[in-house]
Amino acid sequence: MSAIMSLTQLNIWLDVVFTSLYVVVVLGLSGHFIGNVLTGRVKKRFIGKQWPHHEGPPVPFLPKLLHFTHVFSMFALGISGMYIRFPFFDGGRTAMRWVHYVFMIIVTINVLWRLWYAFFARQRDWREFAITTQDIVTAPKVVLYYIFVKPSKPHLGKYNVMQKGTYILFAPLMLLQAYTGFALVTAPFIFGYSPRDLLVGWWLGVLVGATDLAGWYARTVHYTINWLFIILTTVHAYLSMTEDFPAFQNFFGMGGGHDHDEHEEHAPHGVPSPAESAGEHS
Amino acid sequence: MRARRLVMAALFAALVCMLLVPVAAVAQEAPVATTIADIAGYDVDFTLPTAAKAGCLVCHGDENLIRLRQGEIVSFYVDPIQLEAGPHATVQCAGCHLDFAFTLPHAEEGEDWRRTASTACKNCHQDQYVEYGQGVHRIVVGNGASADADEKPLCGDCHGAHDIVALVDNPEGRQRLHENGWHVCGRCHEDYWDNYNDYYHGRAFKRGASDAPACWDCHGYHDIRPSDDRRSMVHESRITETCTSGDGCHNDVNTDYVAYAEIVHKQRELLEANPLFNIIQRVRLTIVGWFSG
Repeated sequence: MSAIMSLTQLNIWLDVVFTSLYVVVVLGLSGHFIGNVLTGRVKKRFIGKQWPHHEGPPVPFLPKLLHFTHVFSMFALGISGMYIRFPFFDGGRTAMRWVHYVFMIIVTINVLWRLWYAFFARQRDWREFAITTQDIVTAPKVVLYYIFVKPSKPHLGKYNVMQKGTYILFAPLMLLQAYTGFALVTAPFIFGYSPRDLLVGWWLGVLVGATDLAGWYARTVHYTINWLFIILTTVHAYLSMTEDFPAFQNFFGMGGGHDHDEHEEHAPHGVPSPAESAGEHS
Repeated sequence: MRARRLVMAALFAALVCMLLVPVAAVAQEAPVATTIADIAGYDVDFTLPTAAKAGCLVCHGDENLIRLRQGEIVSFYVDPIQLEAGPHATVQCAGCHLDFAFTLPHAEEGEDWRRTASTACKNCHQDQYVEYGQGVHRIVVGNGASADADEKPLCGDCHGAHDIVALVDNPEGRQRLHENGWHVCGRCHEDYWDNYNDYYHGRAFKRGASDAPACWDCHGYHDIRPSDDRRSMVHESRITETCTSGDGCHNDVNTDYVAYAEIVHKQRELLEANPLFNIIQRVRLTIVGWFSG
């Protein structure tokens, strides 16, 4: 009984912590934008058109398409998922569940496709996301740039260390989210067994004493990851728009393009960036 | 000869006039204002056929059948289409309105004819009536009679009257009752209605989710009992059985799992007991205080 009592309490804690955290994040980003205005970064970028420079060929169509599908699906999943937990209008549960089911399949295929593209496609780009020793060494400088202590950040490749860290984190979170999401489906699927039975019932269910309890653990993890996605995506969207708006436009097929490199320090001579060392981008 | 004929014609005309004048006088008086007092006691025997409701509906099928009662307009209209579509289409009006009086108005002032109609169900639905008599909604009469007898619900209070729907083997009827949770339980048990607010049960039910449990899905219905009664469906000793007994609500649960029941009616309470929530609320109120002066 005590274990589940903590789960009941945990649900309350998750609501309180994440809703508060989200408010803090939004306030923090608002403060950061004010910092951008006060330090002249907004003026330089949006009026002076001084955006970060990107070496290498433009991003191929497929990653852009997968990114767009992913964004759209995540919006649909976030809204429908939040509705399932906190219904905010009448009569939408069945429709929202179907929206959630459809987009969970789309986003799962999307993630697997993107992972295949990163590691096995001809244009595989996993090296662009790999964190190098140089990234770790220069990480404090990146942080100092974002908190306005330094005027520029080191440029080692297509993405900085914080971007890489976030994007790498997305992959296991997406897979875990898909796993826990499918583990919430209780409708019979194969030989009378539901996805819940097949994914968590046979092992976690045995450990905790009941399949439905295992499902509740899965739901708690699913809900937690959902909030991590909401927070990380909000930060990602804010930074992509304020730090590199042309790249943001370009990713959504709205033009973009730039040739300035105002805020980035290139790697020292003789030290190739990971993208360069990969030999796939000039 | 001719004079005799004239006399006869005059006599006939006089006779006709003598007959027509009173009839004309009566005809002129008839439309003069008729009040309820005038027709009270009017014999409506003729409206009671033995094999149809048409008699009652001569009057009650008229949407304009209203009365002013204590300053409020009360409708006595009965929708014949609704009545025919219901499970009691073949039941005579007097089958439920047992104390129907063949007079107008049908009941004396203060006479609780509605109560009689609401309890008439037991004549046909005896099993349900016996169950009802074992639950918390039963009305105790005689020694130990409950003081709040007037507040206890009768069959019609939950099931409706002329608009009643069949529930047995009728998913649509059950769905309609499901959508009517506030009317059935909430309007009397407002506290429990308001705090039935957890994520997947209460909030969803109140937002019209057809698969979210209605009050009676957990608490039972005719023989509903207080939660501290061992026979109650939501008693600690029976809650596991209750959670698994619905239409596939939960399949494999244990006592750890059903401890979630704590949150079903106490989500707000648990939230307000959360220390971080309290700190945030204080901060929020302080900030609001700054701006409100």
